[in-house]
Amino acid sequence: MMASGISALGAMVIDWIEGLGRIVLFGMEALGASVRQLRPRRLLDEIYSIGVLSLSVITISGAAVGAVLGLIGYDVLNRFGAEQNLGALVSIALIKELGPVLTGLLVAGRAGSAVAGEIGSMVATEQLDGIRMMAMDPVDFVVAPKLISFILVMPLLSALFIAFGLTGGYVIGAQLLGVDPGSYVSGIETNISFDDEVAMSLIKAFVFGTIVGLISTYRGYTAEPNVVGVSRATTASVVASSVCVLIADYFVTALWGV
Amino acid sequence: MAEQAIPRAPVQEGDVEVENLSLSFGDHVVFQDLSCRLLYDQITLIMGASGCGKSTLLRCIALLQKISSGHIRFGKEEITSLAPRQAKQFRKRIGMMFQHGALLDSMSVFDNVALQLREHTKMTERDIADAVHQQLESVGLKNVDKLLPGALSGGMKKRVALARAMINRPEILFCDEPFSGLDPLAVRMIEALLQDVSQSTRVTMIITSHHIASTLRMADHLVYLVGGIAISGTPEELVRHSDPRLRAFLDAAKGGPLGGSG
Repeated sequence: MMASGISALGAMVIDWIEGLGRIVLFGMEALGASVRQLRPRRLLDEIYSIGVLSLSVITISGAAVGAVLGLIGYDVLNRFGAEQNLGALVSIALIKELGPVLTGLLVAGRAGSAVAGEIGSMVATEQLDGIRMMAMDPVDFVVAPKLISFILVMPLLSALFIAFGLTGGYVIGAQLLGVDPGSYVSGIETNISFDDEVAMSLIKAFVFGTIVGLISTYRGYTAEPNVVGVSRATTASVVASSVCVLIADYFVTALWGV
Repeated sequence: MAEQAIPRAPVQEGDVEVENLSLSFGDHVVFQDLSCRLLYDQITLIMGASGCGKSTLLRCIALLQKISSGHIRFGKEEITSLAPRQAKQFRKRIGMMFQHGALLDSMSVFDNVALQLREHTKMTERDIADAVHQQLESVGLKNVDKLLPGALSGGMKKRVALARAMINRPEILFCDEPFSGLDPLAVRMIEALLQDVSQSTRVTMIITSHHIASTLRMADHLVYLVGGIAISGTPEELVRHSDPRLRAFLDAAKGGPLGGSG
């Protein structure tokens, strides 16, 4: 009984490692393809559909999260008579953690699922085979521009999320709850440095962009060629991307030395 | 699946020869030692009941499906062992019209047809536009450049797919179920188009179909797949063939509820 349990666990671990190996090779193939031949027109199309079409979700969510941080932060700081530090609290929370992480999760939900569904549908309707029959490589033509777009777009969306979050916190803290506007802004200026908070934020966004892009394209590419397969790929893409973003968040934060 | 004994002509440059092809998906055996020949410069139709492996055979020959064992040769060239890069080069010599078109949804009709020329030639955009328009007109389509595939009817999709498959002047054209899902008039139109293409380009055409009426009208050569064997010959030979399964298949097609299939 115990031996079979260990054996099943071993098989699961081996499966997991094999899967990880396949996804890494897939990512290297896609990145290699983009280095060999950049397709500017397709890249712009993907940046539009992954980045520009995510703008409303990112900006509205950013403002809402910033506003909530303003409310809760004010409540907590007010107990210690430190409400003038609201700008520092909101900015550090947004820049080091909430901005990149929530952007990663939102992009995984909106663009990641769309990409997995799109590529999965292309598998199911033989469009990828159609590309192969035209002596082209679907990884090069379809996957690579999407993956690169995720990597490029995520830091920009994260920055936008943070900007709207800081604005949301300002509106609630300074305009509604009476925190001095100058203190709010100077709290941000004095507590945020490019080398530490901003660099960490950018690195997180870059890592999350790579993770979401890789998982969503891989899940779509390996989808079973039917409706159920596409649906499973879409769900798996969102779940796996979200979990991996959160796990990666811990490691980047820990390695950064916080 | 072995080919039933028929007299064999010597292999010509451009013939596709399938020898002892075996393929299984798990426990399900699709082909077991299947052998057949698809002839150069002729229209060969692969027919058989649903699920007999017609499309799978086509996918094997197009190198879209890995085989368990056996050989596929194009002329004298063995293609089953081609490396990915060589397989890509081989595919420049073939065109494929998929059952549902397989047109890229996100690209216009024009861009779908132009794609190969943009990828594999150094033609100018003006020359590409001329070639694409000429190709679309040859399949009876005008003023559809800017439409997305989603806006096309089934018949139009197939014609665009044919235009796309023929744009680079392939030596072999594969057509997977070109008549499926079409009304009788559209079937006749696609049939005429394929015959025109065959006569005007000397392309080796390999078509899968269970549309018996069209099959018998247009095929130079038939391959009938049925549990265990492949029976090949001209349409006249197969109509007179004594194999009871083939007879039953042909009789069922003639004596169906509509007395034939278009």
